[in-house]
Amino acid sequence: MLLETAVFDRLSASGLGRSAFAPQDYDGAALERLSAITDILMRIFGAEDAALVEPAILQPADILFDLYGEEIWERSFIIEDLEHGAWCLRPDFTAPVARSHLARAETGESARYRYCGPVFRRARGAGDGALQQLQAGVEVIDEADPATRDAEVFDLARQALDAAGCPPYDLVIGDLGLVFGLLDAVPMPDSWRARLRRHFWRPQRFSQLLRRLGGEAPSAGEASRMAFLKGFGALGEEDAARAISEMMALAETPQIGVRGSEEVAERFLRQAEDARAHPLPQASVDVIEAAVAVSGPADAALTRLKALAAEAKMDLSRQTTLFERRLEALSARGVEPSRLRFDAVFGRDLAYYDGFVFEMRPFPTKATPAPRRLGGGGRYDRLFQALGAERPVSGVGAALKPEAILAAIAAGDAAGAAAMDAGAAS
Amino acid sequence: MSGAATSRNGAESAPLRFGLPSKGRLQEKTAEFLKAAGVTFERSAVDREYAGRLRGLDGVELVFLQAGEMPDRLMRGEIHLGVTGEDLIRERAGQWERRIMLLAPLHFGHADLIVAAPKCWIDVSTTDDLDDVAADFRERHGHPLRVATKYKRLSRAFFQERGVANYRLVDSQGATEGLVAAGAAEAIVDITSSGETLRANHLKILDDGLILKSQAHLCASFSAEWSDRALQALRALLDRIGDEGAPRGRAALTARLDAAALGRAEPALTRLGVRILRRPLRGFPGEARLDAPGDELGLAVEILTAAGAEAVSAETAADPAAKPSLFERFSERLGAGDL
Repeated sequence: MLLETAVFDRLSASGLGRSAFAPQDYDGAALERLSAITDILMRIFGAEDAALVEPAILQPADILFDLYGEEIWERSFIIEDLEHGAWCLRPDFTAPVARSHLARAETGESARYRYCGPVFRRARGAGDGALQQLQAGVEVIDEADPATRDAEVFDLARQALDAAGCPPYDLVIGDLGLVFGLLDAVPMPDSWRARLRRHFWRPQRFSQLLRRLGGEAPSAGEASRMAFLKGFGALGEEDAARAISEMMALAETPQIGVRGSEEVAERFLRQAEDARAHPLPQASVDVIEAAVAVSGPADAALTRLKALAAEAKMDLSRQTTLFERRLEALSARGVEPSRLRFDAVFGRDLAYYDGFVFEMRPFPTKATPAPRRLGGGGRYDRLFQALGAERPVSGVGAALKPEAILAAIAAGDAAGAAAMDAGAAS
Repeated sequence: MSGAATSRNGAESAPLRFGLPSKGRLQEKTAEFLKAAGVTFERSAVDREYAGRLRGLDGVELVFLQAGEMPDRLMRGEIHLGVTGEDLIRERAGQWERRIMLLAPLHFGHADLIVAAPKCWIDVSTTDDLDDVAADFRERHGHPLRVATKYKRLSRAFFQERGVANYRLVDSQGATEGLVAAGAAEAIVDITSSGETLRANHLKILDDGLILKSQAHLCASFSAEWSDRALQALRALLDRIGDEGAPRGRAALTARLDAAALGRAEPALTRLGVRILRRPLRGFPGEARLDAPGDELGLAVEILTAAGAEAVSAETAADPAAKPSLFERFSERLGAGDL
């Protein structure tokens, strides 16, 4: 009861009513329509004999922590007791499918999966939909030819939406590989790069970090610490190590916790070393900022990113070639690149995507200003590593939401009827 | 206004249920605060929740509760008024503002909610550092970086805002500061008043690790059913405790000084929230007009005088009707259906 109230409060604050997140019961005609939509999606996702899979609804929560950290608590339904440990109602399919693939398949084996069932997530804002909602999706795990696989999965999602009778929708794409490639090409200490990568999908945090690496000190304390570290960084390694042990002895600081003095000293010295590179040159800050600001038609965005890389004398050819080849593959499937909206900071709100990403959203209308997202997907090569794969595995997938599609069709019909009425009246 | 409130209930004469701390220093301090408002209470020897009497205020029923119980009771509207820490209210529920109003800070029960890490971590001084350490912690040590706390909600919100990821909260029901040395956690989020316990446990507060400065508050519930009698009792109490949270209005100041002197005084004045409306001409003394917050009037006059101003005079905009009282602000939100 209290839990429900708390969720309701959060949603009310974000402008959603109670009905927007309440799981829905279906029967009669609505259930038939929903089943028909699901059948169509699953038929399309069954291309190339994708195997039907059904991961357990209850997933071990520890795995999720590895992937997302504590933040997942806010979004997932977790059941925990001493006897059974911590379990989580699956918040999506991609991670559970990837996990069972690793458990089942031979190393290096490629596979195609399709699935359909409910997922459970606490909504964070308008567009997230209900606490429980259906997802139907496809995952392609294949080392070969990522550009073609990306385009293929994207096209499957598009075909499925069209076949289900979904009215026109907004399309946005991104490419985390491109942005990460750019970060790799800008000279800076590895620890800074890791920090920026880690927070790329939190845009506000990312730009704050970037400004600070660029020399903006949030406080006098931080500025003086940076000066201290710089001075320290100028010492030789041996002198620095001795200074540290003397410092700690002087302060009579006892060692507590599992981080030993060696680990602490090592990171301290690395910080001091890194501090000598501080601040990140303005030109580097500028090129990163310019790159993350790129948005617009996909073909124009590519041109702009190439120009930026050339200007900064960076070699991004591997990433831009992949992007280009993906656009060609999409074009061959009848998707006009100029009609795809590219947004460099679009990383979806999950940490595990690391390449091509896309999302389909209904156009907002007066009646539904914040419609539920229809679905999306992307490439998640890193996910397998996080799940413990011994060698690199490549995957790309898409998931659609039959209930959101049903709602979009109904909204489209209503808008059409209203337009007809208006036409008849005039 | 009270009509809207009473329409929700039948009992026009139901008393105001006032939650008081059931023991300890918090109870003593609450007693002092109420005494200043001419209200005293006594607890009967029998240790029951409702066993208590209030003198000096009609229409009130006392409920003795532990500080930690207060937020839930207020949220659910089981008590109308309560005395508890802001930290506990904020920890208990998101969007608490819709159900609870912090009527007045009580100037006791001060506590800072902070993030602390081992003092021997000389490489960690900010939340950024904590995030860096957390990033490869599992790889190095086989488990995620653990933060012990009983303030889980506030911790998550704070770490999310600061962009600390890859950590895990572990439950602590007391003596949190000791958990790091005991090997059960790497860092803590806890309240501290003097920092003494932290030092004794070889912990240090991160430079940007202050999550919340908390103190005890008199809190009112919007979820409770307010009878006319309960509202009257609230009004009587609030009228007596004064209204320090209210906007004091502003005061108009005039002073005779030269532009350079005003320039010297300006930074200090700005910090007080004083606005300079008219400056004297450069080079010779003239009249300056300023506008100061009511509470800071005394200090503003002092600063101007110290800067060499003459003929300093002040006029407060005395229009009490224009500013709603604490009770009026509460009942307005109650009537507006803030539920």
